[in-house]
Amino acid sequence: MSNENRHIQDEALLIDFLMGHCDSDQQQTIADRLETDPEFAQRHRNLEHTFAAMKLDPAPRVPDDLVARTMSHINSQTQLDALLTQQATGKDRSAWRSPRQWISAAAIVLLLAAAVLPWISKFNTGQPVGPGVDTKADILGSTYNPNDPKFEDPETQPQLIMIVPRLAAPDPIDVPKTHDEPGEMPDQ
Amino acid sequence: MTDPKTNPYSDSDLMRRHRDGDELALGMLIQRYKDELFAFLARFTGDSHLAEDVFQDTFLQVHLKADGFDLSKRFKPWLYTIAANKARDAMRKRSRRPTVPLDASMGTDDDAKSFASTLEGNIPGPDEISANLETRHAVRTMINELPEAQREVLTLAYFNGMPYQDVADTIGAPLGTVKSRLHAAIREFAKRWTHYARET
Repeated sequence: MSNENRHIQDEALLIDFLMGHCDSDQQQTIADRLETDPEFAQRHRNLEHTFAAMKLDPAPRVPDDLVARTMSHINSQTQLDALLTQQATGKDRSAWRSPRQWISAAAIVLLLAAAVLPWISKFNTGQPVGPGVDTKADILGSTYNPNDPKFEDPETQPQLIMIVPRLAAPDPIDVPKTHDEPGEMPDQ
Repeated sequence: MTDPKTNPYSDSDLMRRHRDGDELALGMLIQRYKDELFAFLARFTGDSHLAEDVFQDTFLQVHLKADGFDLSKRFKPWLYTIAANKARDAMRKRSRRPTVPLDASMGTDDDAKSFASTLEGNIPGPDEISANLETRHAVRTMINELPEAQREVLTLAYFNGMPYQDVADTIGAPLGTVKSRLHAAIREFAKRWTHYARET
Protein backbone atom coordinates (compact mmCIF):
# COMPACT_ATOMS: atom_id res chain seq x y z
CA MET A 1 0.00 0.00 0.00
CA SER A 2 1.40 3.40 -0.94
CA ASN A 3 1.89 6.11 1.66
CA GLU A 4 -0.84 8.22 0.11
CA ASN A 5 -3.41 5.42 0.24
CA ARG A 6 -2.42 4.67 3.83
CA HIS A 7 -2.91 8.34 4.76
CA ILE A 8 -6.34 8.33 3.16
CA GLN A 9 -7.33 5.23 5.11
CA ASP A 10 -5.97 6.70 8.33
CA GLU A 11 -7.96 9.87 7.81
CA ALA A 12 -11.12 7.89 7.11
CA LEU A 13 -10.59 5.85 10.25
CA LEU A 14 -9.96 8.94 12.36
CA ILE A 15 -12.99 10.75 10.97
CA ASP A 16 -15.18 7.76 11.81
CA PHE A 17 -13.58 7.73 15.27
CA LEU A 18 -14.26 11.41 15.90
CA MET A 19 -17.79 11.04 14.54
CA GLY A 20 -18.41 8.21 17.00
CA HIS A 21 -18.83 5.49 14.40
CA CYS A 22 -16.03 3.13 15.50
CA ASP A 23 -16.60 -0.09 17.37
CA SER A 24 -14.54 -1.07 20.41
CA ASP A 25 -11.90 -2.96 18.39
CA GLN A 26 -11.32 0.04 16.11
CA GLN A 27 -11.16 2.35 19.11
CA GLN A 28 -8.50 0.14 20.70
CA THR A 29 -6.50 0.08 17.47
CA ILE A 30 -6.63 3.87 17.27
CA ALA A 31 -5.61 4.27 20.91
CA ASP A 32 -2.60 2.00 20.37
CA ARG A 33 -1.50 3.85 17.23
CA LEU A 34 -1.90 7.24 18.86
CA GLU A 35 0.71 6.19 21.39
CA THR A 36 3.13 4.62 18.94
CA ASP A 37 2.67 6.53 15.65
CA PRO A 38 3.51 10.26 15.83
CA GLU A 39 2.35 10.92 12.28
CA PHE A 40 -0.99 9.27 13.05
CA ALA A 41 -1.23 11.31 16.26
CA GLN A 42 -0.57 14.51 14.29
CA ARG A 43 -3.38 13.65 11.86
CA HIS A 44 -5.64 13.01 14.81
CA ARG A 45 -4.79 16.42 16.28
CA ASN A 46 -5.42 18.14 12.95
CA LEU A 47 -8.80 16.51 12.63
CA GLU A 48 -9.66 17.40 16.21
CA HIS A 49 -8.87 21.04 15.43
CA THR A 50 -10.90 20.86 12.26
CA PHE A 51 -13.92 19.48 14.09
CA ALA A 52 -13.52 22.09 16.81
CA ALA A 53 -13.42 24.82 14.18
CA MET A 54 -16.58 23.51 12.52
CA LYS A 55 -18.30 23.72 15.88
CA LEU A 56 -17.80 27.48 15.75
CA ASP A 57 -20.55 27.60 13.15
CA PRO A 58 -23.37 29.16 15.14
CA ALA A 59 -26.50 27.07 15.42
CA PRO A 60 -29.20 28.57 13.20
CA ARG A 61 -31.81 30.42 15.18
CA VAL A 62 -35.22 28.84 14.79
CA PRO A 63 -38.01 31.42 14.31
CA ASP A 64 -40.23 31.60 17.39
CA ASP A 65 -43.51 31.03 15.60
CA LEU A 66 -42.24 28.48 13.09
CA VAL A 67 -44.73 25.81 14.14
CA ALA A 68 -47.72 28.16 14.00
CA ARG A 69 -46.67 29.58 10.64
CA THR A 70 -46.11 26.12 9.24
CA MET A 71 -49.56 24.98 10.35
CA SER A 72 -51.07 28.14 8.85
CA HIS A 73 -49.20 27.51 5.59
CA ILE A 74 -50.47 23.93 5.45
CA ASN A 75 -54.06 24.97 6.12
CA SER A 76 -54.05 27.77 3.56
CA GLN A 77 -52.38 25.64 0.90
CA THR A 78 -54.78 22.77 1.53
CA GLN A 79 -57.76 25.08 1.20
CA LEU A 80 -56.28 26.68 -1.93
CA ASP A 81 -55.63 23.29 -3.49
CA ALA A 82 -59.18 22.20 -2.72
CA LEU A 83 -60.54 25.38 -4.30
CA LEU A 84 -58.37 24.99 -7.40
CA THR A 85 -59.39 21.36 -7.73
CA GLN A 86 -63.02 22.36 -7.40
CA GLN A 87 -62.63 25.03 -10.08
CA ALA A 88 -60.77 22.67 -12.38
CA THR A 89 -63.52 20.07 -11.97
CA GLY A 90 -66.14 22.73 -12.67
CA LYS A 91 -64.36 23.77 -15.84
CA ASP A 92 -64.13 20.19 -16.99
CA ARG A 93 -67.77 19.63 -16.27
CA SER A 94 -68.85 22.76 -18.21
CA ALA A 95 -66.58 21.72 -21.06
CA TRP A 96 -68.31 18.42 -21.55
CA ARG A 97 -71.72 19.59 -20.47
CA SER A 98 -72.11 21.90 -23.45
CA PRO A 99 -72.25 19.17 -26.15
CA ARG A 100 -74.31 17.04 -23.83
CA GLN A 101 -76.77 19.86 -23.49
CA TRP A 102 -76.92 20.10 -27.25
CA ILE A 103 -77.61 16.38 -27.53
CA SER A 104 -80.26 16.55 -24.84
CA ALA A 105 -81.94 19.46 -26.51
CA ALA A 106 -81.90 17.67 -29.86
CA ALA A 107 -83.38 14.55 -28.28
CA ILE A 108 -86.17 16.55 -26.67
CA VAL A 109 -86.96 18.22 -29.96
CA LEU A 110 -87.12 14.86 -31.72
CA LEU A 111 -89.37 13.38 -29.05
CA LEU A 112 -91.69 16.34 -29.19
CA ALA A 113 -91.79 16.14 -32.95
CA ALA A 114 -92.58 12.44 -32.85
CA ALA A 115 -95.39 13.06 -30.40
CA VAL A 116 -96.92 16.12 -32.03
CA LEU A 117 -96.72 15.39 -35.77
CA PRO A 118 -99.30 12.55 -35.77
CA TRP A 119 -101.72 14.79 -33.95
CA ILE A 120 -101.21 17.52 -36.45
CA SER A 121 -101.90 15.08 -39.31
CA LYS A 122 -104.93 13.61 -37.53
CA PHE A 123 -106.67 16.91 -36.93
CA ASN A 124 -105.95 18.44 -40.32
CA THR A 125 -109.45 17.62 -41.76
CA GLY A 126 -108.70 19.17 -45.12
CA GLN A 127 -106.34 16.35 -45.93
CA PRO A 128 -106.97 12.63 -46.50
CA VAL A 129 -106.49 10.72 -43.26
CA GLY A 130 -104.93 7.59 -44.59
CA PRO A 131 -103.91 5.91 -47.80
CA GLY A 132 -107.05 3.79 -47.95
CA VAL A 133 -109.31 6.74 -47.52
CA ASP A 134 -107.26 8.80 -49.90
CA THR A 135 -107.62 6.21 -52.63
CA LYS A 136 -111.33 5.71 -52.10
CA ALA A 137 -112.03 9.39 -52.02
CA ASP A 138 -110.18 9.86 -55.27
CA ILE A 139 -112.14 7.07 -56.90
CA LEU A 140 -115.48 8.32 -55.75
CA GLY A 141 -114.73 11.92 -56.46
CA SER A 142 -117.51 14.39 -56.18
CA THR A 143 -120.19 11.75 -56.77
CA TYR A 144 -119.87 10.49 -53.26
CA ASN A 145 -122.92 10.85 -51.08
CA PRO A 146 -122.65 9.51 -47.59
CA ASN A 147 -126.39 9.10 -47.37
CA ASP A 148 -126.40 6.74 -50.26
CA PRO A 149 -126.45 3.12 -48.93
CA LYS A 150 -124.31 1.93 -51.80
CA PHE A 151 -121.38 3.81 -50.37
CA GLU A 152 -121.67 2.16 -47.00
CA ASP A 153 -118.41 0.59 -46.06
CA PRO A 154 -117.97 -0.44 -42.42
CA GLU A 155 -114.23 -0.05 -42.65
CA THR A 156 -113.90 3.40 -44.05
CA GLN A 157 -117.27 4.92 -43.38
CA PRO A 158 -116.35 6.62 -40.10
CA GLN A 159 -113.24 8.10 -41.64
CA LEU A 160 -114.97 9.16 -44.82
CA ILE A 161 -117.53 11.04 -42.82
CA MET A 162 -114.69 13.31 -41.77
CA ILE A 163 -114.16 14.46 -45.36
CA VAL A 164 -117.84 14.80 -46.14
CA PRO A 165 -117.99 18.54 -45.70
CA ARG A 166 -115.70 18.95 -48.69
CA LEU A 167 -117.26 16.27 -50.95
CA ALA A 168 -120.98 16.18 -50.15
CA ALA A 169 -123.46 18.66 -51.49
CA PRO A 170 -125.07 20.78 -48.83
CA ASP A 171 -128.59 19.92 -47.79
CA PRO A 172 -131.07 22.70 -48.58
CA ILE A 173 -132.60 24.24 -45.53
CA ASP A 174 -136.00 25.84 -45.63
CA VAL A 175 -135.82 29.08 -43.83
CA PRO A 176 -139.18 30.69 -42.98
CA LYS A 177 -139.67 34.16 -44.18
CA THR A 178 -139.15 36.85 -41.66
CA HIS A 179 -141.57 39.66 -41.09
CA ASP A 180 -139.20 42.43 -40.44
CA GLU A 181 -139.00 43.65 -44.00
CA PRO A 182 -140.52 47.09 -44.47
CA GLY A 183 -144.02 47.21 -45.79
CA GLU A 184 -144.83 43.63 -45.00
CA MET A 185 -146.29 43.73 -41.52
CA PRO A 186 -148.10 40.57 -40.42
CA ASP A 187 -151.83 40.66 -40.23
CA GLN A 188 -153.31 41.33 -36.83
CA MET B 1 -38.39 9.42 17.84
CA THR B 2 -40.13 9.77 21.18
CA ASP B 3 -39.58 12.19 23.99
CA PRO B 4 -41.74 10.93 26.85
CA LYS B 5 -41.26 14.18 28.75
CA THR B 6 -43.04 16.24 26.16
CA ASN B 7 -44.87 13.77 23.98
CA PRO B 8 -45.43 10.09 24.70
CA TYR B 9 -46.33 9.25 21.12
CA SER B 10 -43.89 7.83 18.59
CA ASP B 11 -43.57 9.32 15.11
CA SER B 12 -45.62 6.47 13.68
CA ASP B 13 -48.31 7.00 16.31
CA LEU B 14 -48.54 10.65 15.39
CA MET B 15 -48.63 9.90 11.66
CA ARG B 16 -51.39 7.39 12.23
CA ARG B 17 -53.35 9.87 14.30
CA HIS B 18 -52.82 12.55 11.67
CA ARG B 19 -54.16 10.20 9.00
CA ASP B 20 -57.15 9.51 11.20
CA GLY B 21 -57.94 13.21 11.30
CA ASP B 22 -56.32 14.25 14.57
CA GLU B 23 -55.55 17.92 13.91
CA LEU B 24 -53.01 18.13 16.73
CA ALA B 25 -50.83 15.24 15.61
CA LEU B 26 -49.10 17.07 12.75
CA GLY B 27 -48.39 20.03 15.01
CA MET B 28 -46.72 17.67 17.47
CA LEU B 29 -44.51 16.27 14.71
CA ILE B 30 -43.55 19.77 13.58
CA GLN B 31 -42.77 20.75 17.14
CA ARG B 32 -40.66 17.64 17.58
CA TYR B 33 -38.50 18.18 14.51
CA LYS B 34 -38.46 21.95 14.18
CA ASP B 35 -35.04 22.56 15.75
CA GLU B 36 -33.00 19.89 14.02
CA LEU B 37 -34.76 20.09 10.67
CA PHE B 38 -34.60 23.87 10.53
CA ALA B 39 -30.91 23.76 11.49
CA PHE B 40 -30.24 21.28 8.70
CA LEU B 41 -32.13 23.39 6.17
CA ALA B 42 -30.51 26.64 7.25
CA ARG B 43 -27.03 25.16 6.94
CA PHE B 44 -27.78 23.31 3.75
CA THR B 45 -29.39 26.26 1.98
CA GLY B 46 -27.24 28.89 3.67
CA ASP B 47 -30.32 31.11 3.91
CA SER B 48 -32.64 31.14 6.90
CA HIS B 49 -35.54 32.66 4.95
CA LEU B 50 -35.28 30.03 2.26
CA ALA B 51 -34.91 27.41 4.99
CA GLU B 52 -38.20 28.49 6.53
CA ASP B 53 -40.00 28.28 3.17
CA VAL B 54 -38.57 24.82 2.61
CA PHE B 55 -39.45 23.78 6.15
CA GLN B 56 -43.09 24.76 5.62
CA ASP B 57 -43.24 23.08 2.22
CA THR B 58 -41.70 19.95 3.70
CA PHE B 59 -44.44 19.55 6.27
CA LEU B 60 -47.07 20.46 3.70
CA GLN B 61 -45.73 17.53 1.68
CA VAL B 62 -45.82 15.33 4.78
CA HIS B 63 -49.47 16.28 5.20
CA LEU B 64 -50.34 15.66 1.55
CA LYS B 65 -48.45 12.36 1.33
CA ALA B 66 -49.41 11.06 4.76
CA ASP B 67 -51.73 8.41 3.34
CA GLY B 68 -48.88 6.99 1.27
CA PHE B 69 -46.44 6.77 4.16
CA ASP B 70 -45.63 3.22 5.26
CA LEU B 71 -46.18 3.26 9.00
CA SER B 72 -43.87 0.27 9.43
CA LYS B 73 -40.94 2.41 8.23
CA ARG B 74 -39.11 5.14 10.08
CA PHE B 75 -40.49 8.62 9.77
CA LYS B 76 -37.27 10.60 10.18
CA PRO B 77 -35.40 9.46 7.03
CA TRP B 78 -38.62 9.99 5.04
CA LEU B 79 -38.97 13.51 6.46
CA TYR B 80 -35.36 14.38 5.72
CA THR B 81 -35.59 12.99 2.20
CA ILE B 82 -38.53 15.29 1.51
CA ALA B 83 -36.72 18.22 3.10
CA ALA B 84 -33.47 17.62 1.19
CA ASN B 85 -35.30 17.32 -2.12
CA LYS B 86 -37.29 20.46 -1.44
CA ALA B 87 -34.15 22.31 -0.44
CA ARG B 88 -32.32 21.31 -3.63
CA ASP B 89 -35.28 22.41 -5.73
CA ALA B 90 -35.52 25.72 -3.89
CA MET B 91 -31.82 26.42 -4.29
CA ARG B 92 -31.94 25.67 -7.99
CA LYS B 93 -34.97 27.91 -8.42
CA ARG B 94 -33.32 30.73 -6.61
CA SER B 95 -29.95 30.08 -8.22
CA ARG B 96 -28.43 32.40 -5.76
CA ARG B 97 -25.54 30.21 -4.68
CA PRO B 98 -22.49 30.63 -6.91
CA THR B 99 -20.54 27.52 -7.67
CA VAL B 100 -17.36 27.57 -5.68
CA PRO B 101 -14.43 26.52 -7.81
CA LEU B 102 -12.50 23.79 -6.09
CA ASP B 103 -9.72 21.47 -7.07
CA ALA B 104 -10.51 19.74 -10.35
CA SER B 105 -10.44 16.35 -8.69
CA MET B 106 -13.57 17.25 -6.66
CA GLY B 107 -15.63 16.34 -9.67
CA THR B 108 -16.08 12.80 -8.39
CA ASP B 109 -16.82 11.57 -4.91
CA ASP B 110 -14.28 8.80 -4.97
CA ASP B 111 -11.32 10.81 -6.16
CA ALA B 112 -9.67 11.83 -2.91
CA LYS B 113 -6.05 11.37 -3.77
CA SER B 114 -5.29 15.00 -4.51
CA PHE B 115 -6.55 15.88 -1.02
CA ALA B 116 -4.42 13.34 0.77
CA SER B 117 -2.01 15.99 1.84
CA THR B 118 -4.66 18.39 3.10
CA LEU B 119 -4.22 17.30 6.67
CA GLU B 120 -0.46 17.31 6.52
CA GLY B 121 1.29 19.82 8.70
CA ASN B 122 -0.42 21.59 11.57
CA ILE B 123 -3.99 22.78 11.49
CA PRO B 124 -4.55 25.49 14.07
CA GLY B 125 -7.25 24.96 16.65
CA PRO B 126 -9.90 27.57 17.43
CA ASP B 127 -8.19 28.34 20.73
CA GLU B 128 -5.15 29.55 18.83
CA ILE B 129 -7.05 32.46 17.33
CA SER B 130 -9.68 34.73 18.81
CA ALA B 131 -12.89 32.88 18.09
CA ASN B 132 -15.03 36.00 17.96
CA LEU B 133 -18.20 36.72 16.01
CA GLU B 134 -16.19 37.44 12.88
CA THR B 135 -14.56 34.03 13.10
CA ARG B 136 -17.92 32.36 13.53
CA HIS B 137 -19.24 34.13 10.44
CA ALA B 138 -16.11 33.07 8.58
CA VAL B 139 -16.74 29.46 9.56
CA ARG B 140 -20.34 29.78 8.42
CA THR B 141 -19.11 31.10 5.08
CA MET B 142 -16.62 28.25 4.72
CA ILE B 143 -19.40 25.71 5.22
CA ASN B 144 -21.77 27.59 2.94
CA GLU B 145 -19.18 27.58 0.20
CA LEU B 146 -18.67 23.84 0.21
CA PRO B 147 -20.11 22.06 -2.81
CA GLU B 148 -23.79 21.29 -2.32
CA ALA B 149 -23.40 17.52 -2.12
CA GLN B 150 -20.60 17.77 0.46
CA ARG B 151 -22.43 20.39 2.49
CA GLU B 152 -25.54 18.22 2.58
CA VAL B 153 -23.70 15.17 3.90
CA LEU B 154 -21.58 17.18 6.34
CA THR B 155 -24.67 18.84 7.79
CA LEU B 156 -26.62 15.61 8.15
CA ALA B 157 -23.80 13.47 9.47
CA TYR B 158 -21.82 15.93 11.57
CA PHE B 159 -24.10 18.77 12.65
CA ASN B 160 -27.28 16.68 12.88
CA GLY B 161 -25.48 13.56 14.09
CA MET B 162 -27.34 11.28 11.72
CA PRO B 163 -25.95 7.73 11.27
CA TYR B 164 -24.23 7.11 7.94
CA GLN B 165 -26.87 4.66 6.81
CA ASP B 166 -29.66 7.16 7.51
CA VAL B 167 -27.76 9.78 5.54
CA ALA B 168 -27.47 7.31 2.67
CA ASP B 169 -31.20 6.59 2.84
CA THR B 170 -32.00 10.28 3.00
CA ILE B 171 -29.97 11.35 -0.03
CA GLY B 172 -30.49 8.10 -1.93
CA ALA B 173 -26.80 7.32 -2.33
CA PRO B 174 -24.64 4.32 -1.43
CA LEU B 175 -22.93 4.24 1.95
CA GLY B 176 -19.51 4.55 0.33
CA THR B 177 -20.57 7.72 -1.44
CA VAL B 178 -21.75 9.22 1.83
CA LYS B 179 -18.40 8.52 3.48
CA SER B 180 -16.34 9.82 0.59
CA ARG B 181 -18.43 13.01 0.42
CA LEU B 182 -18.10 13.51 4.15
CA HIS B 183 -14.35 13.02 4.11
CA ALA B 184 -13.98 15.35 1.14
CA ALA B 185 -16.07 17.98 2.94
CA ILE B 186 -13.93 17.76 6.07
CA ARG B 187 -10.71 17.97 4.10
CA GLU B 188 -11.98 20.94 2.14
CA PHE B 189 -13.10 22.70 5.29
CA ALA B 190 -9.73 21.95 6.93
CA LYS B 191 -7.95 23.54 3.98
CA ARG B 192 -10.06 26.70 4.17
CA TRP B 193 -9.85 26.88 7.95
CA THR B 194 -6.08 26.54 7.90
CA HIS B 195 -5.81 29.31 5.32
CA TYR B 196 -8.10 31.56 7.37
CA ALA B 197 -6.40 30.85 10.73
CA ARG B 198 -2.94 31.52 9.36
CA GLU B 199 -4.02 34.85 7.89
CA THR B 200 -5.79 36.00 11.03
